[in-house]
Amino acid sequence: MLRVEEIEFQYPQSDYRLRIDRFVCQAAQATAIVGPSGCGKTTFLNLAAGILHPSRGAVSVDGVEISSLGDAMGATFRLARIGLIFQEFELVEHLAVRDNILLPVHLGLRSQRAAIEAEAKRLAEHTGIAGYWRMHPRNLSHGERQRVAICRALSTKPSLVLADEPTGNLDPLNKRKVLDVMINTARERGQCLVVATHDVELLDAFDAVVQFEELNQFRETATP
Amino acid sequence: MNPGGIAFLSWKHLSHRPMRSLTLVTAIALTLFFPRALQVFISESEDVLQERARSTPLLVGPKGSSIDLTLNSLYFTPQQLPPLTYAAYEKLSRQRFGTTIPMHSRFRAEDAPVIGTSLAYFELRELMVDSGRMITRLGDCVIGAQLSARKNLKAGDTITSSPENVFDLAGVYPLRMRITGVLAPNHTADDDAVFVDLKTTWIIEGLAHGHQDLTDPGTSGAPRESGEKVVRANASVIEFNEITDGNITSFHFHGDPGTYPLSSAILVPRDQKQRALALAAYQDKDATAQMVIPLSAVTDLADTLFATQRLALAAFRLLGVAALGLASLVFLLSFRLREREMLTYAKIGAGRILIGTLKAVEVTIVVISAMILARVAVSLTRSLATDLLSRFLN
Repeated sequence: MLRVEEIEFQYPQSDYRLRIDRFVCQAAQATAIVGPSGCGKTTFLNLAAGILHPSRGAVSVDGVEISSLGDAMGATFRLARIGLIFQEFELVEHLAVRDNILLPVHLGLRSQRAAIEAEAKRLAEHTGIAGYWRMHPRNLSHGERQRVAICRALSTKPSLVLADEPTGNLDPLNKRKVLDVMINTARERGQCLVVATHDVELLDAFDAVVQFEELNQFRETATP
Repeated sequence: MNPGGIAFLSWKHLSHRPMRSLTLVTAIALTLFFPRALQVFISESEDVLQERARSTPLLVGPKGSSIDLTLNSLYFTPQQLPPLTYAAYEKLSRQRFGTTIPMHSRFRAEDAPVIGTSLAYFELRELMVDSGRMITRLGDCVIGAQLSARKNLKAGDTITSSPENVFDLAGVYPLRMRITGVLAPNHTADDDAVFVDLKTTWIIEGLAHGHQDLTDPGTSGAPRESGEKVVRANASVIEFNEITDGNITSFHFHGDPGTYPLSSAILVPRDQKQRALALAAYQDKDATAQMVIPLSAVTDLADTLFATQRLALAAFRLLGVAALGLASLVFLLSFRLREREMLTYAKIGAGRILIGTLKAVEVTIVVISAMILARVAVSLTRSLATDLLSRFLN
């Protein structure tokens, strides 16, 4: 479960401010955060992941207050419990698809290698990228790269999945297919799924939809 | 932290750009290799030079550079000094300081020095015939093991001396020599030399020759003028360029043997007293020959080498600092270009320590590879030092 309470955040030397009084995403729940580009959805996801730290307030995942964890502890927690799907995919160009998906194993989850690899293969089959296992990202289309990023985020079976425009580069058919995989996986495993999107056609699939402008108490402020 | 995973990620990045990685490894390896190789080469060279110098008690040769004389006599380097006369050699022999061994190293055959000497040389150097037999007559030769292997020559084959100058029609004529044996290797300059009797080198020099019997009326170009006792041959008389059992008796020497040339002479004194007497005999400033203690000459040479080494090491150190600075810059730029990749690792769940370790492992892999490469190259230099030294000297 993701719980955000009374957090405030401001980028250094920027007018943009974010204040959220309360946001909760329960286990097995898929929540969409919608809003125009640049409204702060990515910043919110980074705060929820513990990549950014709020100046006040708390972010908790499964009861652990990640906003107070140090660098090393926070990173270890994120690696094991949070799956991230980035807007720009953030795949490592010199690693094959297989190693990109198994990046969490290389970065520390060695003991779970077999389970993660098995899950990665299952997800690759479901998202249609099983045939690209040994290829490098530069040889894949945008949509295929995005699906690799999704497999990487889900293969560790995290309790929280944060996705930033995960279907932004997919065709309508694949958008629905990939989103179904993500939502069904979240429900099956009791994962908390938070997706930042402005794709209104897909909102019916989510359990909850939050307008980010209503979430941020500093609505009147400039964009980041 | 997963050490295997970190090593894997580092290796993947390095192998992704093999040329860049290889260039880095090679640049660092060369930086490490050059100073060490120079030290090893000079140290090995000194050992090799001193070992051979120790087994050569004294040298007599024409006045001039003692180092040139020593290198010529020990390593058969091309002769830089004027010749020593056979009369000077005979004088040395008559003084009975010990065993005297003539050395004549002016000529070459198949790029190897032709050494005219006596059988005492083989005893001094403990040279044994590995296959075939020792030289028995004029025109015979035995060759070193390395030359035999390099040119695929064996006992029973022939080897021809090289003319000194292609256009010198009146000069040294090639002599085809019969190889009677191949010497066992002793890992010195002897392994790449052709050994003949001293007189054979004089034949190559043109001081002796063999030709058709001019007293035979059937010989073309040797008309006996009626009423004359002297036989005058013209240019059509055939000179032999190979000594065989059939023509050996026709070979004869011209001129005063006392003026015949040698490169040097080795003197093996009977005892310390004879050694001291021999050295004293050549102290005279007016003497036309000099006596050299090879070990002293080699030590002088080593001192010169050490001075050169110090200079070269200073230059290598400067180059090394520049190369390492350049390598550091390459790493820094590479890490800067990979900031986004590192940020991805951090977002997924890599702490600062892990990312620092990742960078350090990559640098370590490159440096260790360079050290291994440098180590191998230094070992190779050590094993090839003797051969390299011979090549440099020749």
